[in-house]
Amino acid sequence: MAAASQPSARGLTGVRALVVEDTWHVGEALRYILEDLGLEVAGPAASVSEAERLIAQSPPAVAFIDVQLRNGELAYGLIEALHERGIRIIVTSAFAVLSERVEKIASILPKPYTPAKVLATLRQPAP
Amino acid sequence: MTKIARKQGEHAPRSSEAKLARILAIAGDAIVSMDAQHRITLFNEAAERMFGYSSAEALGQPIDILIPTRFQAAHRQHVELFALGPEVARRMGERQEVTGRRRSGEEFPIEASISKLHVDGELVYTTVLRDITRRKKAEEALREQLLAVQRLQTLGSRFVREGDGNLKEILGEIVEVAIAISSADMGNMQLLDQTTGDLQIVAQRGFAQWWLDYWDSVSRGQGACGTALERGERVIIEDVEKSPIFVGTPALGIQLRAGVRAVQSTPLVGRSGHMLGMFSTHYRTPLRPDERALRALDLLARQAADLIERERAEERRQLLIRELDHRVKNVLARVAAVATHTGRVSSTKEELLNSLGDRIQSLADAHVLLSRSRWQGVGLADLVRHQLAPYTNVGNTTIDGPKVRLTSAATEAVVMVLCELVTNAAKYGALSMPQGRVSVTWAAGSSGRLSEGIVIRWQETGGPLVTPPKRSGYGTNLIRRLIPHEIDGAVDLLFKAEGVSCTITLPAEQLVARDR
Repeated sequence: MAAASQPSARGLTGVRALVVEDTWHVGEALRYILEDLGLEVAGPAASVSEAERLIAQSPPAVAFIDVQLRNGELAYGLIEALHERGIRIIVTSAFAVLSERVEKIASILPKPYTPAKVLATLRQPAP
Repeated sequence: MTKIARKQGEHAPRSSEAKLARILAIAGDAIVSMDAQHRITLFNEAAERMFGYSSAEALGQPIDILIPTRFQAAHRQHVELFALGPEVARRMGERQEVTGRRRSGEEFPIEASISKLHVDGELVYTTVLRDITRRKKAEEALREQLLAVQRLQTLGSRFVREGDGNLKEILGEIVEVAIAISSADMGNMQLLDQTTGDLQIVAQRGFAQWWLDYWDSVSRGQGACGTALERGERVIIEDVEKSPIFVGTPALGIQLRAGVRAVQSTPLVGRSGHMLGMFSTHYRTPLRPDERALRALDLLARQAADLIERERAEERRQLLIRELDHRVKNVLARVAAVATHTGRVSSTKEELLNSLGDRIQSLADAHVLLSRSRWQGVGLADLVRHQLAPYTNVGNTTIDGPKVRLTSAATEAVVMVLCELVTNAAKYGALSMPQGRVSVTWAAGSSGRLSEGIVIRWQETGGPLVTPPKRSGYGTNLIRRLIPHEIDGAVDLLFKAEGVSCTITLPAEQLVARDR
């Protein structure tokens, strides 16, 4: 399957994305989905410090961030910091309810998700 | 000495007069007589004590000196009606209470009986008076207590009806009831913070903000409440100025500035005996709350502790539901991702379905083990045995290591990695031949202590000669990367010719403490 050749994925080629996700399978699957859409993916990172290391190497245009990371670490601080740097944030979470603040500065991609939903979320205007 | 005013020229027998005087002197009730002009003609010793006048001062004075001004006219009218009426006496309790006035001007409730008698053609009234201040106070206290108990009952049923969310409000109302019931001036309730071990005010009545700021968080041994926390029992400070808990500390000045002179702090103890918080009442005058008040405070403390425990149980239940919800979605997300991976690397539909089935089964296995352990951590030996079970026959596997239990995250990760190792061994390795052996052993980390984590060794022997795979497939990727990613462990997978070996290091945080 070559999603990158579909018209809906146009304009995403070469866009740098960061995946922050502590479930290895989910992070890997998201990486494949994004690579199929033509994005350049860093990660998955399972902790805030790993994410920061990857950002320092190559700042992303968009970051997919799970709220709860390895050993229960929460990503709210990271979300705020990336928002301040003008990086588009898509929060991927299995939590039913997120904070008002998060909903204000990030797009939400509820888990579990399909490649079509990932693409649709990327296509949404940033909040 | 009781004196009886006499009309001039009257000659009563001296002995009976002396006898009467003695009787009047020892009477417990005040006895006051007056003539038709309402002048006092008899004033016994009990009357002297009650009103604060000596009989010498009272005799000949109008009765009005014993009555508050606003009641004087009504009193005169009552007496005149009584004079005209057919009754000769009215006993105590047959009429309403009246109000007396002491020499000091202080007013007090009186129960009175009155009689009229014609002596030498002139009307003489005699009243027997009883000071009922104490009885009235007791009645009032009882009434207050009854009201408080009724309020408490209403509170309890309200909590049951409205459920969670308004605990603070209800605790505040319990403080209010406690103030009423123990005649206190102020009060508060604190909850014990489980992490810091400090007391924090959750409800209060009657305190200024600066006082609340000072006592916002109280450590063991600080103030009356911190001392009660330390001792695990009620502390009563009858006078803060004389208490070693306060004297010489800045807290004394704070209490005096707020007008607090006496304090009692009662621990809030849960049904299982652990401390939940503190319940304090404060008094503007130095005193010790009486036994009745203390019993009432005990009752209120019990009620408050029950409400707090209920609320906490409800919170735990909600948390558990949220966690379960989160977990189910995460598991589904993982299954969806596993399906994606497996689909990408499988060349036939049959291979895809088999591999997917195995992988979903390993997630289900992890769940079964965790659920069986009631989410308290899974024994590593159980976990390994469970994964090897389908391929185990007499003597082809060795499982050995100290007793350790893994967290749920580590259980899931290790089960998934073992699933891949087992599948690989069954297809291409030691478990594909009758003479093949697999040994899984583990030991405490580098210094030999579990606090350093553990090292698990998977070793295959006696199988076919191993040739390293040309490229890293999904299974080997999972084995190498999942544990470092998800639980910050380390994995060393080697394809040696004599058999596959895999060394897995798990950090100490992934082990469940033995005493749990």
